[in-house]
Formats: sequence, structure tokens, C-alpha cells
Amino acid sequence: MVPDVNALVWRMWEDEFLVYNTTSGQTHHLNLLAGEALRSLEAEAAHERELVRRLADQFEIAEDSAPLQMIDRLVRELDELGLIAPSTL
Amino acid sequence: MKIGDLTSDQLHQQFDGAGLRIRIGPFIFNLRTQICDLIAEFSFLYADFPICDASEISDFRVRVAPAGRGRPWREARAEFWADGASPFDAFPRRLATPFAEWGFNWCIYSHAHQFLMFHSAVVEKAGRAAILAGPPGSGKSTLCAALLASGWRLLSDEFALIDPVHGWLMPVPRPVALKGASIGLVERFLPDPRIGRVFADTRKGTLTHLRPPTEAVERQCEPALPGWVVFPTHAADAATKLVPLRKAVGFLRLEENCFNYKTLGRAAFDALSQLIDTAACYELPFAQAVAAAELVDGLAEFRSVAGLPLDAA
Amino acid sequence: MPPDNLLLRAFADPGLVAGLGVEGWELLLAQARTANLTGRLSYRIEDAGAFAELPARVRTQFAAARVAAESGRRALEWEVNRLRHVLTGTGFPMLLLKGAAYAMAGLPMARGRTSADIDIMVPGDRLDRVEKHLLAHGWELDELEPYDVHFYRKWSHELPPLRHRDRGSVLDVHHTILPPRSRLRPDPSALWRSAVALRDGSLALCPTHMALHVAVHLFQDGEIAGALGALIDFDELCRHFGQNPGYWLELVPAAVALGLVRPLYYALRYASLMLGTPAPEAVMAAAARAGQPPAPVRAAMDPMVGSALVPDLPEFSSPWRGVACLCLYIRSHWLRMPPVPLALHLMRKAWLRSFAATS
Repeated sequence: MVPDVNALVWRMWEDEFLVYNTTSGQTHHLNLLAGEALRSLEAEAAHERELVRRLADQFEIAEDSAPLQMIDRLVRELDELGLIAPSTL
Repeated sequence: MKIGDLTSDQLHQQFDGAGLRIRIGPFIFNLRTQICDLIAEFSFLYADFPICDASEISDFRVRVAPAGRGRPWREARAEFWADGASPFDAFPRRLATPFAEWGFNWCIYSHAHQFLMFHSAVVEKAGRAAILAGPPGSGKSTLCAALLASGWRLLSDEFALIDPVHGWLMPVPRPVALKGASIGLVERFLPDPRIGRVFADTRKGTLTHLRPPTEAVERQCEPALPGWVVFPTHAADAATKLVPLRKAVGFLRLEENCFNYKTLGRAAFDALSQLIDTAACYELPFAQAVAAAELVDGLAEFRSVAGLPLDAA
Repeated sequence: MPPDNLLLRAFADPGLVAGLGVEGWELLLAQARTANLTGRLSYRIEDAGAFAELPARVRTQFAAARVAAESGRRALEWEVNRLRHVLTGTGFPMLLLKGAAYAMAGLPMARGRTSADIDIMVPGDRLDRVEKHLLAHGWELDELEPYDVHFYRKWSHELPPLRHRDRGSVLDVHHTILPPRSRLRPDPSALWRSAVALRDGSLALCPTHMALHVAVHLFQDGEIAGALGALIDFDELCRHFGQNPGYWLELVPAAVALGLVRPLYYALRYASLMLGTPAPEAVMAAAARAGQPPAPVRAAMDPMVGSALVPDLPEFSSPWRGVACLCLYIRSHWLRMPPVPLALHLMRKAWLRSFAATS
């Protein structure tokens, strides 16, 4: 999940996202997949499996396709950066 | 009243007394010094700048003062002070002018957080500004001088100052610093270059300053809206061309050249986003500054030829 | 007492700025910048209701200083966020000290501060494990000479500073608020027992202990020279928490319990003299009874502190100020270390300084 306090600010140009985290003051550059993953979690918290399913639907690709196999690594990086946090639900 | 209107005696009296209050772009500097060479060089380079009334409060209180030699055999030294802070070690007194210029830069990027500040030159033509951004050595000062020769107005050689609320670029039309080979180049392509003293063996090699065009100083209170962001990179063997950049890349490259992006936080993100929305971004590798200037000229012409309204976002 | 210093007078009586001319403003702004107090001064003036009448150029400089201070505050709060992220679930309680505590407690005095380092306190018996845990999660020991590392571990009450690998932020981890071998030995368990919980789950010292910590830092632990900001901290803590009468009632007894009456006496004395801190007469008297030093010591301290506390503008520096600062520097180390190691420590510092100057 994305903590409420983060209050992310989004900009998009040509399939690339720039997102500003109000709490950390950091700006992040995300490609299309990473950006959509974060947006998805911002809208509603999810487990990794659920996130993979949502993205597979959105991009119309198989759940076990190469980009989606890296989702767990992406989630770890987003957590390290403080953009997301484990949900307490 | 301008600096150039004062006699030498009057200048010395003010510099050595309560200080000379001079308006440079949006800032007022209160400058005090007893160093005669500095007074002479400063009054040449800044002759067109207006002197402020004694009733105006300055933004920076600066003093360039003689310093002890440390050892009897050493040459005479000086120090730069601004509001009780001294950003440099004592330096040779003969280099007071370049150190004063670096000192003014330091004052601005240390404190002027009412603006979003980039390390770049800024020039304007027909109502739109080109931001020439890049690290030292990228050739932006030389390119800037070439564009002045082509009729562009100087807004700044060192800083792009953006008002984060309105997105305007604020002029700070200080002397253009020229180094090494570019000194000779600029003397050739500018019709009437007013160049100050040449300083050998500074920490940046041979250095001099080009006095800013009178018109640029007279219009130093007129901001401009950004039209283009250009990242010049000079190399002797480069093929000179304009390479369009993706907007996200333009954003990140500009952020790298920003002095106070983190400091301004959300306001910086919004202001830089707004800038990237309106201004096209280009990489400009070049070997010859004049050829590079022609390409940048072409951008301004294209805009007017294509009938794009010059002041629409 | 102190030489006339406009910055000090402006903090004591912010309304005086209404009468300043150009020269006065230029002096005040220069002094504030030297002391790194521009942002805090701007809020002091605003709280006194004198902001709207300020000249436009002053408002601009104040606004720019506030932007810088807010940036520091954001970084500080993020740092606390990341620390909690790393320490939650480890069973190490984390107590925030100084600027981090003021910010996370939302105290008015946190506005305009330019806190750099984060200071936290952890229980003494967990210090090693906390250090290992932090080192495993992105912090590194700052590069220090082996002598300085030894000084920290043996004489100081904190680990050598830790720096975060990616963020570059600096963390000071304490286990008490005074060095273990100094003359005063406050018992840290009392500090933990009275600690209060903040909105984000961190702990902070209770109000009287917060004030005592500043007093100790100023007059026992740190260097007094140029520490006007710390005296203002003490003043603002007293003004804020002093709205609750319980604070004043508990202040001297808490100092007695921790053996900190002398630093409290000095803090109250100089804050009320120099900043007009509204401490009740009864409290001043109790502090004097409990903690007043002999008259000759008082006589020596008064002019030294007055001269050294306010920051130095080269235009106004006096040779006397240099002497005062030196005496106070020696004093603070005298209070921290037994005599023989103190002499060695000072000799070594002097040698290093002269070595650096000739290279």
C-alpha cells in the first residue's frame, strides 16, 4: 500500500512517469510498468499476486511474462524507497 | 544614477564608507571594499548598473577586504565576506575581481530560495527565453556570447532564476565569464566586445569578463517566459546538431543542474513540470559556437514563422 | 553584560523591529544569517504580530529562509520515518532528542529551525546491538581518526556519528544525556520513565527533561560560544510548556533529582537576563538556592557568557570575545573529562589545528 501521508504527485510525459513523494521530498522516475504498479497500489493496497493479476489485465499480457516476473523485485525497491509500506490489513 | 556616472573619488568614498548599493536583477548588493584595482575593474564591468537609494534594504552585505599575508614573502591577499560568512580561503589580491564574481554567485545560490535556480545561461529573443544548461566546461558561456552577437538579449550567464509561482525567468545580467580559448573566439565574433582585465592562473585557468550589453542591463527588470531548454556540450570533434530530448529526460537533466531543487520541494517539482510542459528540450553537441548559435536562432525563427503565438503557453 | 547585539534584542523584544531603519535592518539581517537564525527570527516577529508591517525586501529574505528551514524539517521528518521503519519490531525503543523531538511533537519552536543531525537515545545496554542493526541497514560510521573514535566511545555519551549510505544524513545515537565520566551523573532510567509518546509512535523526553537537556547541553556539555540558538530553545520551551503551571512546579525538583541544578540555574539566569524568559520569581529563587555557584564563579561567568554567546560578525569582533570563547571551551571539556586526559585531548586538538594551518 501507499501510506496516505506520502501524498504522491504525478506527472507523465510520453509513457514515462515522474512522481514526487511529498513526505520524503524525493522525485522518482518510473517507466510505464513501474508507474502503473505504483498507481495501482495507491488506488488500493494489494498482495504481490493480486498486483501481478491487475497489471496483466491492464496491459493484456500473461501473468508469467518476463516483465511481471520482476514484480517482487520492484515491490522491494518501492518499499526501500519508502513509496510503499506493508499494509496492516 | 548609474555606477558609470560617478567619479573615481565618489566611487572610492562609497565603497570605502557605508557601501555602494547596486541593483543587479532582483537583488540589491551592498558592496564595500578598499581594494583599488577591484574598484576600477568593477566600475568598468558594472558601469551601466543603477545605484540604489540609501533607503533600500540590501539582500546581501558584501565586503572584499585585505587579508594578512601569513608569511612575509607571500603576495598580498584578500578575503570575501558576505553577512559574516567567508566562503573562500584568502586569495591573491590581484584576483579580487574573479573571486568577487564567484562570491556574488555564492550569495545568490546560498540564499535566494524565493527562486528555483539552475546553473545555466539564459538568453531571450522575441519574447521567449532559451535556457542553456550544463556543468562548467560545457561551453554555455561561449554559446551565450555567440547568441548575444546574433541579437539575443542577455538575461544571465550563470543562473536561471525561475519565479516558482508564475514561471517567469528573472534577469541577472552580470558580466559573462570567459575562459581560455573562448576569450579569443568571442573577441572575433562580437562586434564591440567590452572585455575586462584578463587574469592568468586562476583556479579555472585564464579568465576574463565580458561587460554585459547596456540594453540587457536597462531591461534587467523585464522577465521572460521560457521557450526552450538546451543542453550544450562542446567538443572539438563534435558534429553540431540539435537533438530533441524526451520531456522526462529534459526534466531529470535540468534537475541535475538545479542548485535548490530539494530545498523548494513540491514547489520545485511543480515549477519544473510547468517549465517542461511549455519548453521543448534539446541536446546540442557543437564544435563551433557560431554554428551552434545559428541552430538556436533557427528555433526562434521557426516559432515565429510557424505562426505560433509568442506568448501562449 | 553583553555588548549591544541587535539580534539578541530582537529575540527578546521582537516589536522593536518596527522602529528599525535601513542600517538597523541590514545589521539585524547580517547577524541573523551569521547565527543561522533568520527563519526563527521571522517566526518570532510573526508571533509578536509585527510581520505585516515589515518592508517587502525583508519579507522576501524571511520567506527564502523559511523555505530552506522547511526543507530541513522535511528531511528530518523523513529521516525519523526511515529510522522507525528500520527499528520497528526490533524491540529497541527510540527516544528522539532536540530538533527531531521538537519537530515530531509539532512544537511551535520547531518552525524555522535548521536542524541538521538527528539525535536519538536508546537504552545503554542495547547500544551495541542497535549499532549493529543500523550498520546492517544502510548506515556507516563516519570516517574519523582512530583517536576520535576512541574519544567517542570512552568519554562521550554517544556512538561516533553514523551516516546513511544513500541519503547522506547523519545520526547521533546517545544512551544518556551526559558523558558517563563527567562530574554530573544523571540517571537515564528517570528519563525513560517520564518519556512521552508522540503521534508517530516515537518517544520524547517530557517537557521538564527537554528543558534540562538543553540546559545541560549549553552549560555542561557543548560549547557555549555562538550557541545563542540553544538558549533560544530553552526560552521557547519555557514559554510554551510554561503555560501549564505544572511545568514550573516540576522544573527545579526534576533538576535536583537528576543532579542538574547548576546548568538549570545558568540557563534560567541567562535566558531571563538576555531573552526575557518569563520564569516565576519563586522558580528563579529555588534554582538559585539549589544550584547557584559561589559569587566569584558567577562574576567570572557573566561577562564570558555574555560576550561569547552571541555570534560573531567580523566587523564587531573583539579580542576579548576570543579569550572568552577559549575559556568556555576549556570549561566545557573540564566538565566532561578528568584533568589528565583533558590536557592530552586539548594538546592533541591544538597540534592538529596548527598542522592544518601550515599545510
